[in-house]
Amino acid sequence: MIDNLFLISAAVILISALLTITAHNVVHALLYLVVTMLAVSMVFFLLGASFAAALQIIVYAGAIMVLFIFVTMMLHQGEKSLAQERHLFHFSTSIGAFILTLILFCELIFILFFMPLDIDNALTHTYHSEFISVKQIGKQLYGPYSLLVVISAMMLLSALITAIHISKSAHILPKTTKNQEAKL
Amino acid sequence: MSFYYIPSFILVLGSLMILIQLCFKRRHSFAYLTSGLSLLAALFLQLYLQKNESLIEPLFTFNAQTSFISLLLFMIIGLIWSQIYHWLETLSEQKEEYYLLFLLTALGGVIMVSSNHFASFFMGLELMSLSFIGLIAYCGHDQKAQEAGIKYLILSAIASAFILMGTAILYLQFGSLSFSNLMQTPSIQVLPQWTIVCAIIFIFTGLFFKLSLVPCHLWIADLFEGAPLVTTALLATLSKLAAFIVLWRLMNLGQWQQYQIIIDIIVITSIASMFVGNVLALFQKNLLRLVAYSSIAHFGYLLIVLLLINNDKVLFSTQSFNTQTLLFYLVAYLFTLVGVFSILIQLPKVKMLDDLNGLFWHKPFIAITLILLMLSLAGIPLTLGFMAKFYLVMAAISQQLWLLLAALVLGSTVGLFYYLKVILAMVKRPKNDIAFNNLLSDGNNLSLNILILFLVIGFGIFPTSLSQFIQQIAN
Repeated sequence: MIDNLFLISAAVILISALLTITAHNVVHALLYLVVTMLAVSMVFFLLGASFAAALQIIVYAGAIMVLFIFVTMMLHQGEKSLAQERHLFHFSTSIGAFILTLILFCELIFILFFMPLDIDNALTHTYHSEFISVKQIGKQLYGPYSLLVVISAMMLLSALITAIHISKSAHILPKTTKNQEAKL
Repeated sequence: MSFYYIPSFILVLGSLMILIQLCFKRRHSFAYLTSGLSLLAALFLQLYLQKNESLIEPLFTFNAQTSFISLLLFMIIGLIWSQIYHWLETLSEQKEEYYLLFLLTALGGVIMVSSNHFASFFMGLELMSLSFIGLIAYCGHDQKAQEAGIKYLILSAIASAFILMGTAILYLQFGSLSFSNLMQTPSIQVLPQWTIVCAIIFIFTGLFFKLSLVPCHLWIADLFEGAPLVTTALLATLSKLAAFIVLWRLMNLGQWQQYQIIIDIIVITSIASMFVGNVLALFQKNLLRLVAYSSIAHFGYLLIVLLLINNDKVLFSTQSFNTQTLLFYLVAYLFTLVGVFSILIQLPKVKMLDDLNGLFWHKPFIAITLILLMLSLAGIPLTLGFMAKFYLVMAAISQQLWLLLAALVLGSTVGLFYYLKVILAMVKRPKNDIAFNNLLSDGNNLSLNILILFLVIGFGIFPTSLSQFIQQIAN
């Protein structure tokens, strides 16, 4: 039972990931990317790592969407771009992502309400043998693995500096550079 | 917190200092000095730490060998750092970020070299490659550099994905991400053997990409040509050193020679790298591409070291002789390569081999330095490169790796051709005499050339002190 659910989620991951790379339109690619993230979090959930599943949704699916809205707002050019956006996004283009999400949603509903109890118990025994709480993760991250947190902070810093520098020097308009500097 | 972490913390501190200073007022000289001082402090502390006893933490391991390799890494980075200032002055971009990314790259390298855990290894690798993308695509106006940056970004992401997959499979088998757990034979065999071989091949693919060994070598020529020269120097030395050390440690700890397929793969990769690297370099007119291809061949030679660990057919050498070979070869090759790059940085207009024409008659000292470095790369006696190759041949003979030895000899012979081609190009009379007249030759460059010459020729003629030092470390 649980294996089948896992396989369905994995199939959704693969399909949506492939559609992400093959989509020509950025918005469409992003939609499929969000579906991929949701499916990954579903897999985490099935494996008993509920905290990782929640993080997956909050950090990836949530933050990516927010960032994207942020960028579109920054690049907004009034009525012209509104028309452009309307042209970009029809409901019919999102139908694929919608169907894939629907599959995941059905899975979730099934697990929550229609799962036979004995299977549920078996699941608890095989996968939940060591329930990992937020506190445990926090203890690990600030205990033996604290250096990894520092390293990942430096990694993010280097990615940030790289992104800012490259995007800055790509368009050499002096005016924008000054504006960005003021923002920084 | 142990004493061993301090050099890395100094690097972090230096980069944060540059970041803070960058927020208030941009000054090139300040960033230059801050990065230089932190590198110097890290170097001296590392030198001081040579004598400390070894320490194994969950994430990192520190012993005489890792300390020596970190020291080597800091020395190489210091040599490259001394070349940055003049080059950056000629750029129109903002300059301070380069030092920041430079220090972070060095930090990634140091983390990788002493990592004892797949998590710290992977984080170090990512820190290094992410900073490298910034360093490669630093010149925003340069189309080629941007292209090289994108190429490196995508390819290194693929390599990282391979490494992660391999790591995940190994975790499934061993139940731990620590390198030291690879040593213990697990009580229950969870996975069939072929999956473990697959995992090892995945990890090898990722690391072979970083080392640009055949068949993962296609990116390197474009990258060497497109990226700024200083970045190329870093890419050719720091990234390859760190990746090779991790490869060697994994091979050593996991005892992956027990799988015949892995040995076959290493033999094939090694021979193919020697062959492809040397043949491609032979027909190359572009100087940087030539160096790129020759570095493929050199790491092909170095792969022989991986086959030596714990082999039964030892004739006269001990376990530590293999380590000595590795360390000596790395020292020799990396110092020579840094020397070549520092000469190339001093000759900013030289792109093709023909551009070197007449260098010998106009700037004899620079030309002689480059000639000696080329001879060292080719492995001519009385240079450091010869001693390194001598070590390698000796190790290969002691373990009776005849096939690899034949490939090594053949490869070196072909290599001699194109290194001599570079020398001939320098001696040839130029068509126009003014090409090198406006070269800047200040005391900084001169002293650097003398230092490199001293290292390459001095240790080539009197290798005893260096080899004794390395012997001490390897034991």
